[in-house]
Amino acid sequence: MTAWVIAAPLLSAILTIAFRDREMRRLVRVVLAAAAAALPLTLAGSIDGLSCTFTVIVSVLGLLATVFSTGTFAPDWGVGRAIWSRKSVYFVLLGAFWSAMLLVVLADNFAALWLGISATTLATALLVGFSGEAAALEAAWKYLVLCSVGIGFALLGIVALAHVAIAGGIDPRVALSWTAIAGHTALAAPSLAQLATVLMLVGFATKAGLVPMHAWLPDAHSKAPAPISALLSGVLVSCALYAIMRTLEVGAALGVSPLLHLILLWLGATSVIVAGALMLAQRDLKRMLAYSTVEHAGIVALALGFGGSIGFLAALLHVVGHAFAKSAAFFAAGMVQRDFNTTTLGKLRGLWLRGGSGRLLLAAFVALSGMPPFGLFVSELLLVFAGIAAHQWVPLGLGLTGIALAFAAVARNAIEIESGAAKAPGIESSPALTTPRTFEQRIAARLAAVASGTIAVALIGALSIAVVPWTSLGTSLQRIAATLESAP
Amino acid sequence: MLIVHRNLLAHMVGLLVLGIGIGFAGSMLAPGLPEPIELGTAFDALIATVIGLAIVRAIVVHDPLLDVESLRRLRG
Repeated sequence: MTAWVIAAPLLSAILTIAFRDREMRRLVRVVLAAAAAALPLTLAGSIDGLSCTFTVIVSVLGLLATVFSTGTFAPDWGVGRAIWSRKSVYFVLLGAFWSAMLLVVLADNFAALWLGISATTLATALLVGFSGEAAALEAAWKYLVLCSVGIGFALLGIVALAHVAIAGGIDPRVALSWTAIAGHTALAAPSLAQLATVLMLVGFATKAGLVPMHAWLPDAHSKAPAPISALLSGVLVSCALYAIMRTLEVGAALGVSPLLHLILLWLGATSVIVAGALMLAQRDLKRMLAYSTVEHAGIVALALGFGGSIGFLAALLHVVGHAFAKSAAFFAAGMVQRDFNTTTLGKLRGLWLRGGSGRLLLAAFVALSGMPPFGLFVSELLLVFAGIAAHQWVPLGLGLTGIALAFAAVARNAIEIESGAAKAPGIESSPALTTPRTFEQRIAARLAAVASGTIAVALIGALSIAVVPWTSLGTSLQRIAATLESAP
Repeated sequence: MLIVHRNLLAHMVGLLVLGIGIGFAGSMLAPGLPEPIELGTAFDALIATVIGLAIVRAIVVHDPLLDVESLRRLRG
């Protein structure tokens, strides 16, 4: 059953190709994607809480990205410039990407998890280079090489972990399952266990884009088509962080968690401050959002590094809130790119008066900078509590400085691009704003409505997570966070 | 292959060797792991190479020499 749930997005994308009529194909694509997103519900009860949380993120945002792509697929994404840049290939690769992420979060052992993470790299490398421009190809190349090498480290770590597990008397067939390792406390060889878990941590951190393994991330996330950027930043980074959480779980069982916490602490603190500083220097909207992803991944790593039940709860809430907020931001950036034909920060002016995309972008900015009423506010507050509880003053100080820098960057750019008169020189008027006359313009207006709806839904996701800590959902998240903490 | 060479095709060979090598190390270090894991890692390295070659084929249009120095546009 699990195999079908995982394969569903890919199968539905392939099935859609069979329909010839364009309108029909659009409809079938969205309906099948909705079915594929609903299918994991059949697994409820048979997977643990952590998998469940991440499956919700993957399914909801996978569906939203498919809807958004259907609504805004534009010829200026570079159709036909490279051999693979065709619309059908795009949607099949998107389906493969979604399936691979489901494999990551639904797997019950490290081998399947590794295969999923590695498959996401393969599925998205071509999507990053989809436009066929030299810069996009360069980004795709760096992404493929750096992530493959990074994930190679993780595989080496997983193999070493299997060695430790088998030497400790676990049946080879289940040697990589975290429940088997966690239930088997008498595992000796702490130095090899340390090596294995650190290698895994470094490999997955490469995929999560933590400094100093982040070099590929701003390139890949800013050059990919907007819905792909949204999935890469919002969901794939979350999946990599999920892998890190699983590594921590096993590390706790093997008795090596102090070392892992220390590494995560410093990786996180460096990421937050470096990315925060670099965000101030960015001149492209999507590139700034990509650095913001590095910053938020750093915050999660920092929270995991602080540990304790508050730290893990902060990390979980932050992952969920960031997934929705960042996807909304990239969707909005895609709308801006479509409406104004540029994402260069110096050229965008007066977006507030120019309609939906600008306003939604502002809302996404507010969410990302960690202001109330959005969920990231709650998780950053919890992060501070966790840091104080753990007495880690220097990383906490570095992290807060980085968050302040990132806030400054987001606020400055938000004010710059949102303010000003609606009619600025150098920007053509938006097709979505003029009264629709021809058939194409009516279609464009309708698709813009679809896209705005998508962004709004993602934003509501980011907003609703703020109320979670005070509801029964909050207690269940706390229980999930507690499973991460439990050491034998 | 990955560090000293400047040609993208050499990098691709390096990546393939790395992937297969780690898979091989896996079967030495932890014998008895299920077959699909080893097959999966080898298959993964192959697919990565195929995709890499597709990207190289597209890069040839921009830089016929396939020199890594041409991939330095994106920074900061």
